[in-house]
Amino acid sequence: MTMNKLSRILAVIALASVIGTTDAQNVSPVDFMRYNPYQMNTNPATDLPYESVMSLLIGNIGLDVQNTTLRYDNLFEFDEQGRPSLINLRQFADSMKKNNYLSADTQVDFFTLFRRTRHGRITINWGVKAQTDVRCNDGLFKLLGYGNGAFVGEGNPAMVDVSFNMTGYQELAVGYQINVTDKLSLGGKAKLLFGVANVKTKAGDIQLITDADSYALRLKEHIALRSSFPSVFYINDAGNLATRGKFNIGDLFQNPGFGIDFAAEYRFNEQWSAVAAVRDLGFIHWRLNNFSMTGDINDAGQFYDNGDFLYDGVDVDQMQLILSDKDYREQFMDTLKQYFQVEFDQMGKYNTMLNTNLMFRTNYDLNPCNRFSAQVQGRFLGSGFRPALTLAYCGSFWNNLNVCATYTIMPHSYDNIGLGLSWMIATCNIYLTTNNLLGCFKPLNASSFNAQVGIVFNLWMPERRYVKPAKN
Amino acid sequence: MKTSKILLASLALALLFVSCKKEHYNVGNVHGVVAEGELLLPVASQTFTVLDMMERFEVADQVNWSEDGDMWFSFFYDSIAVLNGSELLKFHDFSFDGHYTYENPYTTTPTPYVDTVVSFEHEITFESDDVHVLRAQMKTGRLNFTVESNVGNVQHVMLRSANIKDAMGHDFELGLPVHDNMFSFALDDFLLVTDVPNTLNLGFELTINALGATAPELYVDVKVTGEELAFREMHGYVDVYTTRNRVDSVFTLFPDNLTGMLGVEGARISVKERNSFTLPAKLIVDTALLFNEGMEPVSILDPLPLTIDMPPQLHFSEVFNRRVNGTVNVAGGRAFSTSSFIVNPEGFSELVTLVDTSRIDTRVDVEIPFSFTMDDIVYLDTTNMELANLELPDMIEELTLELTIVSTLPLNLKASFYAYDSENDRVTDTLLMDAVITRASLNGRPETTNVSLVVDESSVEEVMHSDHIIMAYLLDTDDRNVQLNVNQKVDMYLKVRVKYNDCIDFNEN
Repeated sequence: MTMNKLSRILAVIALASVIGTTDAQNVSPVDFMRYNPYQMNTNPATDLPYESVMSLLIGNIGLDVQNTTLRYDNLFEFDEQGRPSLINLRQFADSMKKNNYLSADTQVDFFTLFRRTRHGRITINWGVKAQTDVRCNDGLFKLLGYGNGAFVGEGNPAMVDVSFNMTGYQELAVGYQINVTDKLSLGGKAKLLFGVANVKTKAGDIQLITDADSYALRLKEHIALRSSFPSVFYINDAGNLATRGKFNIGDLFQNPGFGIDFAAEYRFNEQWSAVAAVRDLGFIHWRLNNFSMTGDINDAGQFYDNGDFLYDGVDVDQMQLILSDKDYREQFMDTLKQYFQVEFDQMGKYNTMLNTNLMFRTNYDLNPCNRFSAQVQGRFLGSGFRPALTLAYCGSFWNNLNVCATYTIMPHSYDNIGLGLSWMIATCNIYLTTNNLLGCFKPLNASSFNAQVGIVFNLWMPERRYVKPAKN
Repeated sequence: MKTSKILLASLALALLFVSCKKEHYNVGNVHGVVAEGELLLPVASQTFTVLDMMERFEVADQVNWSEDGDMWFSFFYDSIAVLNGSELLKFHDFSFDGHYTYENPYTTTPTPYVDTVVSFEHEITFESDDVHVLRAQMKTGRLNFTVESNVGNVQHVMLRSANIKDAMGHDFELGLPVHDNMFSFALDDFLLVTDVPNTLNLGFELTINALGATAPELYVDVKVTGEELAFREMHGYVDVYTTRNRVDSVFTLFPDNLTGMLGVEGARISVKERNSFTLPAKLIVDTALLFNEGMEPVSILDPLPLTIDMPPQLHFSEVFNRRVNGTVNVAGGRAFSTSSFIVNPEGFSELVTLVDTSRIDTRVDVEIPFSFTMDDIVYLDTTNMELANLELPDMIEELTLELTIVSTLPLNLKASFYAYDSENDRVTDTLLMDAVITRASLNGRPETTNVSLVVDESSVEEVMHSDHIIMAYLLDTDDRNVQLNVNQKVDMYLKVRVKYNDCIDFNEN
């Protein structure tokens, strides 16, 4: 059996058996594995040493989570057997920082093809992405953990500040890479996007001010969401979000968008090179079946004060009724709920920007088998700019093993020692990476966790640079 | 291959390590939330003005205040038509008998078959102790006649009187058929004019049928009765007329659950009167007593008897005004007085005109200023509560009720609160005992008082399962006479500090 035939058989097996691929959006050892085809996701200008590469469904399987503060072990009390038995809100609140970030990214590539042409390399990719980005402060958990007794006075409100952006979309990308000169390579991708669903906060602020003298509670609330869902979702007569019918495949293509990636790589000499890249610069236009949700304080009566909910006690007669009349007490509580009703409304079109990523990297090639890199990356999320500094080493061993070690430092996350292994078996490049080796063993207690595995088929391999040239 | 083995072994080791920690991530065992913290909540806030308090005591209708805010209780007792002109112009019923005889001209011969006509006059007197009528417009009255004669039956009567005039001024003349020897007529609306007070002359002309009487002496007996004789207006003389009046009235200051005595200074008693008689009158008060429960009655007015002149006037005007001091039960009391109203007390003998609508009205106003001393006035109140279905008690470690009272009232207020279980008839907890919750403001500036009421873990359950809170308040003024003002108020803030420390178990309902 020839190598080409073997490659084709493996490709068919992959087509038949693999479900999906995922590709993380944050720093990953894959980005530094100079012979891994998927490093072009970070650096579209990279000149891959392959003639042609294809993956179907399992080119990348992985998950990327950045979690600056929220720790599983801090949330629970554990029994003697080490099992979590109780949720300890105060302990959890104590462990939180003023601002806490949780983001998760996945990408499923249904099809990826690289093909070298006469002047460059063309890339075609089709996949879906799901991105979640949550930021919350410690206010809610501190309030739950300590009660409002810890937040007394105008200058010390219990502040709950939450924002999140969840987006799912399809991406059909066509890229091209060209070596302009021996030293300069350029690359870029144009992406046609189709939004599937989006939920994004415009505002998520709640303030509870407890007056130091009277303990009067003033609640300021401003919650605003905008969202887009497939048509299976609708607003019912009661004004609530509900579902009906079956999912319509056409809904996957109803919200168009456009994005681009581009990069430039400059090789100063045999050892030094530098890369600058911009990834996911673009937007999605959410066109149909859009809903807004607002959660401002409603004017429901006596406790409404200039847009706020102000509870400064009830009068004595009312208190007497609350104390003595169960029915009145229930009615009173029902009335209180009216102040906090959220409203869903159909809304018009809106746009969301992609989470754009900026990257600058320098490489030092000790020799063709060993590379050292330093990278500064920054990502624009709805909740803010997320920088990361990574130092990486990537080496090739025994002709078929590629090892990459990384150390990444991010805000609130300093222990990210990553490791990636890539293993060539015939035409298959199997790889397994993580950006936090320790986090693999306790992913729910790590500040950052990235795991990627995948199988890429190098259909035609005229050269494999990481293998030392034969001495014959 | 060696490399592959090393790699696979490493992966297996890592999986083993992770699987050893499997229980660590088994969240199915999580059964609750540890709740620990402190909640601060306002419970009730209210401003009670003095007026609010009066409304709460249901006495606001009796409270008045001046422009500068000084307040007083106001009571009045109206005695409308305590003396009415119709009383004087109403006469006693009367009766008299007349016996008239004459000789029979036909004692020996058969009586001719003719009717006999008998004429005679009689003076009718309607007596009154108090008025002497010379001219009067009659209002009601009826004269009834019964005739008995040995001549025969009376068939017709003709009445005439120069003392009775009709509306046109003509002398009274009335012919009536008579049945059964009786007849009567009404005097309504006739005018009486006489020279002799309270008398009138009435002439009779009786037609008696012929029945052949042979007795030597014929007689006619007439019985006249007068009833319901009253005048609408009269011109004549009025004697001294006296009527007695008695007032027995229960008054309420504050509700029954407030007990104690108020030292009252400067309570004002005034009398207004309206005398539409054309004669002067007098009111002579001989008794004015205040009854406080459990105490001997005390005289409100001193000295007694008290004489108040009441000159003729068509509108109310004050004829008496006096300030008195005393003590009164905070719940109220009973006032009792007896007095006499005298018309024409000096017995003037001048001609006067009197109408039946003339009257004397009086109005007694009593104003009790909110200026008093209080010594341990006790106010008891009870409030219901039904908290047994709240599931909070298990969580509560300590509950502190914090009461802040900012008061401009010149009163000290001590309070005791008790939780009470009516089902078992027992006081379950003493929440507060003789705590000063309001300090008297003596200079008009607000006095702030803070009171904390701590219900610890052991008491929470008891209190939550009680169904009443009994509140006993003790008011005093530090032996000072204080003045309540409508602008004084109490700002009250009740707030609660709840320390909770427990586990909320998901498995418990």
